[in-house]
Amino acid sequence: MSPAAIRFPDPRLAVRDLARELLADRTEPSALGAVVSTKTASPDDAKRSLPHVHVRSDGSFRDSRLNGRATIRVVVWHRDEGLAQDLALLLEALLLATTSNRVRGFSSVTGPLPTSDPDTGEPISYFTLTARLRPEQL
Amino acid sequence: MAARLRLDHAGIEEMLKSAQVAGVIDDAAAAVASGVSETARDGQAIPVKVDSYTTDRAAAGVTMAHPAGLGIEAKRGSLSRAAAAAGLEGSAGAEASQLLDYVTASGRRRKATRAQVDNWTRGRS
Repeated sequence: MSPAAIRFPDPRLAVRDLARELLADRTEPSALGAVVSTKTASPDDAKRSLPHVHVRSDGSFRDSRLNGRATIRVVVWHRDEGLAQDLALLLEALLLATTSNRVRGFSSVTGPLPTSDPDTGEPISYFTLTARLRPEQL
Repeated sequence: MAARLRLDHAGIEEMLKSAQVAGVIDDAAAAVASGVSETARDGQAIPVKVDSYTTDRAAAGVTMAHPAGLGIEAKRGSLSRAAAAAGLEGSAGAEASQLLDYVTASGRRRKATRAQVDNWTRGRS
């Protein structure tokens, strides 16, 4: 009998959905109205909505059939550097303390670090996590 | 009868600092550096530097040596993605590279990472 086929969820979508849930009820000023997306913040002022949280995966790793991980980078655009850093700190803390039906847990890798958008000069803050993904039997 | 395993810490440290291990680390760092190709807003190519050094083991760092380097890493993940493409997975580098003062059972003082101290003191109250 062949072994069961195991797949892992798309880490970007899993973390995006989790971040949306975690931020939905937050009342901190930096979190109000936050948009969480797998797309980067629009450079077009007319279309821009701040704060904007961009979730992306920088690499996926699988070292056994059941052990899958992904490096997740979260970038926060906000109205000023302090608010960007505050929201990044808040979201990192919430993610490190949570789990979902697609993510078993997170570990910190780097950040949150305040910096500026290399294309527009706007304030941003970012952090990187390892997401341990939940295996799914097909 | 239970076997007793005794780790040769000095031998392990010597091996981790050896030229052979340093060569493997340097090759991995060069692979990451060659995977990064970025330009700044003014069109200048971002220089990528590799620094080899030794802590309790051979190590190497890859840096985008430009004021915009951190912002480029934040927005595009250039180093992070180049590392993944070279088969390297990110870890808590800053935390792991921070060396602590540790006093061994025999009273010897040595530098160790947090992970090493946790491993050596596991099960002790």
